[in-house]
Amino acid sequence: MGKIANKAKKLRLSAAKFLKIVPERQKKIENAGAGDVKPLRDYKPNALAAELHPQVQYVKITDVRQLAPDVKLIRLSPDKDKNCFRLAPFAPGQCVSVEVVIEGVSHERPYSVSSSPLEGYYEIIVKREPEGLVSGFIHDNWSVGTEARVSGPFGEFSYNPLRDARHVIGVAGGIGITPMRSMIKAIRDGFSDHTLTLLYGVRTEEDIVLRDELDEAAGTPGISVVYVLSGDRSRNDLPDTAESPDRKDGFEHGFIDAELIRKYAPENEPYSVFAAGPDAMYRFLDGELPKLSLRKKFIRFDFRGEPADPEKYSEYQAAREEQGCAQNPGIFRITVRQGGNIFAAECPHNVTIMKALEYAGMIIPSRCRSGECGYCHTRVISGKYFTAPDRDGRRKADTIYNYVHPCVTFPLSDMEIELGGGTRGSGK
Amino acid sequence: MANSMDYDVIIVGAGNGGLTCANEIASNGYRVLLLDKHNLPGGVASSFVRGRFEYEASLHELCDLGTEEHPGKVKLLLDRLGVSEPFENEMTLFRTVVKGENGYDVSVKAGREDFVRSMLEICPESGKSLEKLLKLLDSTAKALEYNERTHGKPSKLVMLLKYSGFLISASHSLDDVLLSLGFEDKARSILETYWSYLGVPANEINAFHYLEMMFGYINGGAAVPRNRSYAISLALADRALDKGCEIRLDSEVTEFILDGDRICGVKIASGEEFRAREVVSNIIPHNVANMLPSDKVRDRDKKLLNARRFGISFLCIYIGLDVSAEELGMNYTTFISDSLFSDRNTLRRQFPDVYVVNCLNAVVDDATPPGTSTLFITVPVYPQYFMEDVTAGNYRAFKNAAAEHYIDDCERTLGVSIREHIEEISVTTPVTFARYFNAPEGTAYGYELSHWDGLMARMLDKINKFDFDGLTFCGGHGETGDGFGVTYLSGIEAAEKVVRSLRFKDRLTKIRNITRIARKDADKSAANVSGKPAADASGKPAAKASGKMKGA
Repeated sequence: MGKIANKAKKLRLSAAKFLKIVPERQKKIENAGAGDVKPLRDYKPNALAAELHPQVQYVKITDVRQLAPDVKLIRLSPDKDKNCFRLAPFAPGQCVSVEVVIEGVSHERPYSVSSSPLEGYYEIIVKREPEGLVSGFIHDNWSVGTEARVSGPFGEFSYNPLRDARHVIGVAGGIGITPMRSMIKAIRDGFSDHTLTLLYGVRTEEDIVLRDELDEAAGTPGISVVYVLSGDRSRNDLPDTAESPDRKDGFEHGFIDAELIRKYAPENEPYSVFAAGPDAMYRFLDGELPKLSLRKKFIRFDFRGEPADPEKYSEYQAAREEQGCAQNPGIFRITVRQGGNIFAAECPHNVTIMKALEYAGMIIPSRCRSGECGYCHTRVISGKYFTAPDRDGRRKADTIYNYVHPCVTFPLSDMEIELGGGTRGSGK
Repeated sequence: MANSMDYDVIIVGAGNGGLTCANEIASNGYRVLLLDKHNLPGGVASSFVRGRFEYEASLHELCDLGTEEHPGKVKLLLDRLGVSEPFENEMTLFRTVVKGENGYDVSVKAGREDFVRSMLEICPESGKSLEKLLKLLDSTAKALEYNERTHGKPSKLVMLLKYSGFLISASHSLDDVLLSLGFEDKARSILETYWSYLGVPANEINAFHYLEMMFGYINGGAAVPRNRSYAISLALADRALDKGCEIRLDSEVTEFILDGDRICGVKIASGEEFRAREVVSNIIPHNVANMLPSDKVRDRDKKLLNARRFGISFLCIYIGLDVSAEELGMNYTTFISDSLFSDRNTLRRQFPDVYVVNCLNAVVDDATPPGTSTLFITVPVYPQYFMEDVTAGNYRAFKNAAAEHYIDDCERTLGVSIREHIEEISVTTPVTFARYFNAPEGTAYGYELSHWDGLMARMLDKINKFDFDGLTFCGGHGETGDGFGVTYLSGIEAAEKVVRSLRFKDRLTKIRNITRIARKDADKSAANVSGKPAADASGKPAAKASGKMKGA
């Protein structure tokens, strides 16, 4: 000990300094100003966080275009009257969650932004879904001047030069054209630096939306567009043979399969496949893409949406048996605790918990509605359930400690769950 | 809207400190409400999923877990709270690479003997100094024991005579102390490697603070949770629920409710209000001050807050690779730097030349699917330098440029191939800390543990701490600073204080009730039947006490 003290003395380290620690600190504090502390918004990272990730953005509809009988393009511009002067920047391929208030109940749905990141507004393309509560409401009620609220942009379906191949094969099925349009515009505007071959699958030529725009874009270096007609499935006559009378020049025919992708893929250069479309298309691609032996890093799917039917999963039956729920699929009771309140809803075995609660008028936080974003992350107090395995975006610990994403989870028994206490829409 | 007293204790923020605090208070039988703005418990002790990868969000390694035979403080704490999440122990402390002519590329082992052996292999001439260092640490440990024995009121004379080594390390910077022990440059540089974990360069960090942490690692190795730190968060939440604690997520506290000069409750974003006898804040005093009426915050506290600097923040690059850790040739922790020594100027630039790379799969082999691995690159940054040119418009491109800079550097320095294997990549910045935690200036570490506001200074200066009646703090912005183990322990410390206060008041109430009854009896026996309630002198406390009865 003495030795250390000696050595320390040589370097003028002294134990006596210990006595100065407190006076030094007190002096420092005494000399500081007694004004109010700076508010958070005065710090750059906090100001940027607010600008990049607003909880809510107030928009006004400034343009509506009917693209097809059941498809509308809607432009959402910042609502200056509501102190929204600039919309949060987004990357092509990202979504915003759009809020619609129907009979006093607020619903949210994710829509891909379809405009260029440099245009200062968000354009979304809304297709009227056969039983779509929200899409139907938008079609019937939204017009120029309508005010709305949208979330900040989110989602991972965006080109990243550190990760993706420079050449992208975009596979769009039907309304999946929406994010692709944004990607095309971003390339054209010089925002994105990659090339894109778009394979745009529709049933018939009439179903192609924004054709003028796409044809024009196809003239831009680095962008090409291929229309792929699957045929009228109601007539069950896929014109996928050269002899088919429905075959049209300048179009590809059939589904977008491995062969077609290979045909348009660059030969000696890696490429990334970005796919956006309906669930059926993703499931078809799940079978096709392995044939291309692509590394996983070169395959990107947009949000897969809500799973339609649990019985389509081979794992479903096994999960039921394993959990002792083999018998009697039917209607289950979901009890929801939120703070001091308790609600209950009926949930058929083939309906997601989120949907069932919404039918019962209980709106739970949602964003992607595809199991990925975690916005609806919920604790299960009791009960058995099945999560769609192809969109189970939970963490490992969630599975250990019984947390679920209700948007992709089906009940296997009566359940009790706990919801957080609604900070949504606090506007902060 | 709410009852006069809904809970015994409300805890604002379910970070590490909030979670352990909730456990400890609830296990004492008090009614606890734990609130968090996010929809997950854990704060930074979290993880996130991209594709087939689940990234650890923040934890590099847990200190003070100890070994099976000699469990450390943190292990004992988690055991006591009923958390049984599995850990892996990594006995190579780190590989550290300093580029350039005077640079080195060495690995240092954990375990007291292995540590000395590995250091001697690298710096054969450092034997004497290492011996002195170990002695100093032992003496420091004894000094702490003595301090505890005397309940924090040690005799100055005893300290000076018996524990001068401790006093020296407690009042000087790490660099000065290592110099005084006679370490040459290389050994000193290696021993200072961990500085970024505390966020303060070695010429400013309190030596005692640093060495205590370092010896936690040396004694027990680096502990890494098998299921990410998020699993510990969920386990802590689960145990708290078992103990009767209520947890409300997605419930941002927007306001503190005052009763005169005392905090007596909170208001959350939904508009609901809750009242409690005590409130614990896991959120930083700056944000608490911003939520209180200005005239209620003492000038002394404003001065304290204005004097303090925020701790560093981080650029974090999370990479999912389609190559295994073995193929990649990475071990768990690698520190990379451009120079032997770092000081404040090292961080006064956009892309500091000092960072850490962690490959989780090197210690948790099944952390990701076979044939894949994750890398976690952490760069300490000062937001004002790091983000100088950043706007909302170029933020995304900036993140990519920053990631590219460090990936390139890492590839060049370590001779590994990262870029071509990137399957997923996410980048977080001080903006991320600001977004998820409302951290002022995006600080990851609360207040900077710089010399005047270092650990020792905070512990000794009992007067200058943010003080508000009814409010207790826990978390990384507190006295003991940042880090996982430390913040878990901070929650317990806050809990103990709160429980003491509740018990004291309960006893007081009991005594008051007894004296009141006694007095009533006395009044009665004096045949004074005026019907007046017995001396209402207890006033406020009595009202609170009745609230407690309701709550209990």
